[in-house]
Amino acid sequence: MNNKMSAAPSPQTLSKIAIAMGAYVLLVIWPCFDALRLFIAEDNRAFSLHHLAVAVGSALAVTIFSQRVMLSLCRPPVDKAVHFTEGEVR
Amino acid sequence: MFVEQLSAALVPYYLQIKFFHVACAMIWLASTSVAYINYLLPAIKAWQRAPDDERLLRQRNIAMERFDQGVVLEHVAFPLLLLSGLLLLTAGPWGLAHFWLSLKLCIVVLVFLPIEAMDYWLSHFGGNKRAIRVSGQGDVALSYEQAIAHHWLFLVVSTPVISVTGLLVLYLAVVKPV
Repeated sequence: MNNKMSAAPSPQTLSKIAIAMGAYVLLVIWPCFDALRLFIAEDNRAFSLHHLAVAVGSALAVTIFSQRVMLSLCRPPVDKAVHFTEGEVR
Repeated sequence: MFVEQLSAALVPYYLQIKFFHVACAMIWLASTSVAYINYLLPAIKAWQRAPDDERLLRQRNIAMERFDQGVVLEHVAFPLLLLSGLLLLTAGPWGLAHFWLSLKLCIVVLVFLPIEAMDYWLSHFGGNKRAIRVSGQGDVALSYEQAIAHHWLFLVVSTPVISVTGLLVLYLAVVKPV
């Protein structure tokens, strides 16, 4: 097979993906969860400032953690990369 | 009416269904981790260091095609996990009013289902690397590289998501915080 694909997504692309993942937590998962709490469990704390603060914190944590993990997957340190010899992958 | 009858029929088997559900969760979460960490990742990382190396490229392709086959166990366990989860929801004392279950179901529906749908497609349907290689239709080399690129991007993006939400869902299911 010809090698036509780039070796890894760029750090800028990964940063955008990480921000999108944080936004997904904040704008999709949190509203859906609190809507469930409000309409099914009749939880008065749904959509409260406390829940919003937890959602913002979670979104930030997801963004930072995802970016770090994705960057580490796409930029292997040269000295830690595994070197296969012919026939090792069966 | 039907749900009540089903619930009454399932209640005596609640613990057996729970055992099956936990077993499926273990298979779904862990069955590909050794292959991913110890075979696929090293092959991809070695190739990333030298993208023009034909030998590393061949090893990457073999690892990716084997990984497509290796996820079959995970993808058999996932629908069984969902089915047994629904049976537990029907038979058990827990409902959407409980904090842990509502958060768990949000994660399952909004995170796991889209990820798994994409994973099924990449591994077994349009994105299956072996099927593309043997198809002989169109520009096979280009389609193959595109499939590898899509699958690799999917794995990069889903790794942090699954590692966090997988553990979170396990915690919610075991600890059941109110």
